[in-house]
Amino acid sequence: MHGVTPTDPPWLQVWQDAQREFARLAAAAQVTSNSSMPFAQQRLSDFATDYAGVAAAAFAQWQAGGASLDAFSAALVERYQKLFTPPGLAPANPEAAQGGAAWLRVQQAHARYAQLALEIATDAGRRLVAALSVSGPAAPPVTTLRELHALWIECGEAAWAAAAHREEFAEAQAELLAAHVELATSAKP
Amino acid sequence: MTRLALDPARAAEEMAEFSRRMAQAASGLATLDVASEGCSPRVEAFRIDRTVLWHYRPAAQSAGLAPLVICYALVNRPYMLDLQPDRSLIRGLLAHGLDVWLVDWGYPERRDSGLSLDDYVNRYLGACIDHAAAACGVESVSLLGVCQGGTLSICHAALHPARVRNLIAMVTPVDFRTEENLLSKWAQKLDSDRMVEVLGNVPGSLLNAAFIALMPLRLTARKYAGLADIAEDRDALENFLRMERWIHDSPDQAGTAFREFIRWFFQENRLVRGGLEIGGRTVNPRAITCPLLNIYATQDHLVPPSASRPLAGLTGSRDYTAFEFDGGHIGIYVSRSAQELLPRTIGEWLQAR
Repeated sequence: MHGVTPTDPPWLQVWQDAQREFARLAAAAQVTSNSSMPFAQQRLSDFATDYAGVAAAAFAQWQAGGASLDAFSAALVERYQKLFTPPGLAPANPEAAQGGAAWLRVQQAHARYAQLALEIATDAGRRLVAALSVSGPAAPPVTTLRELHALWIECGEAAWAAAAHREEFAEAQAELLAAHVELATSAKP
Repeated sequence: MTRLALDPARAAEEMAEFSRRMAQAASGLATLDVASEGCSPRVEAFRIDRTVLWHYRPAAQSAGLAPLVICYALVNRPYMLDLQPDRSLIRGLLAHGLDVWLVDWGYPERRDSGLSLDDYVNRYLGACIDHAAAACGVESVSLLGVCQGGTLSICHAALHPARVRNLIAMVTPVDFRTEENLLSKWAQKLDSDRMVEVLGNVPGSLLNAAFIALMPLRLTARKYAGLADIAEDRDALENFLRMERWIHDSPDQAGTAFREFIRWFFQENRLVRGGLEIGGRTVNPRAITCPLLNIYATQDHLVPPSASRPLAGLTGSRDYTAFEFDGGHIGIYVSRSAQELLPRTIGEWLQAR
């Protein structure tokens, strides 16, 4: 997101304020929520960022004169990639295992998985561009952010379904998990 | 040419309104408490280690049938079957005059990592069935197995056919190696031996992440976008939160049982291919000769119909009924259409036997 400049149209300020307020309230809800029930709130801040990201890409595309759907897609690939990466299996920091063999295995597993996730995310972006390029009665204009968000999800799921059944993906996922398990072993006193 | 036809001023207003509603929903959720483990009156009838057998208070005139013992999965909590008054399979079964008992496996702790499928299938489930049968003065029960609990129930019925008068399998995996089964494809590569060796018990959060990864956008981004539509509806927010709580309430899995289940069922598909032994005894599905009702969901992303249908030719039962529910793995418990349809189907099927 860029800051508001004198040349920005007035709606952009409204939109940016709304994003900030949403993120603030979602984060506040996370802190103050009933301690027995934090599950939904935990995801709301992340979700707010995703939704706003789709909107931001759409606005950027509009500001560019609507010429390039490829640029629009590229802006969303990173968001896809994040959602295709399993929670709790973030790259380990070197201190976790003094940079030993287990840590190296985790880094390699992450690199392999991240490459696959990027490929799936790129495919999802391509599918989104294709879906937005279709015309005809079966493909009505996308006139709301909600419709765009729904299409973004649909294309992401289609790309995921096409890739997640492959043996290569199952191997990368299993190796990522196994590497984290070994790291946990090596970190034990 | 593009279908993208956003009017920026209107989109900005939409974003502002969406943000307002989501913030309202977030604040509303924070005030709710949905901590109960079911809505129907029940008493603890029996306990063995962490496993509890619940007995539900009758809600209608007795249908005069054998007790119905429900065996749920190890991987989630059974209160999904009794989530709230208008979303409760158990309530529906009670309304049909059935005598309902529920096996609750509890939350395994570190010292339970050695619990095996023998413990769950033979010792715990067996003790619960024996207790319910004895309490009702009968020798056998009707057994309703749900999801993974259905697989355990099939094993139990094969090993102890005299204890099971009728067997109902609901969204139950039987053939674990079918083309549509994404979870199974992932499980093929899993080194469960090493996982259990290192971790002891397998964290429920890990399994939960795998379940969500089956449809990572629909089960996160789309679901949360829907919150904007219910921001001002307290009942709907409560429903949402109950579901969220259940989804994230995943017990850790006893290591030995987890390892056995992954290897014997997912990786070696022994229930279908043969060679399954639990507690030193061969599990032969042909030994099941009681009436069999197989309920599965046509849009189940977790247990695809292709995984459930093979039960048809697997057993020695000559009284086999299949019932296809038009919905998904979660909808079969909580959708509006399921509330009337499933209890009636089960009740009438049992009544006819």
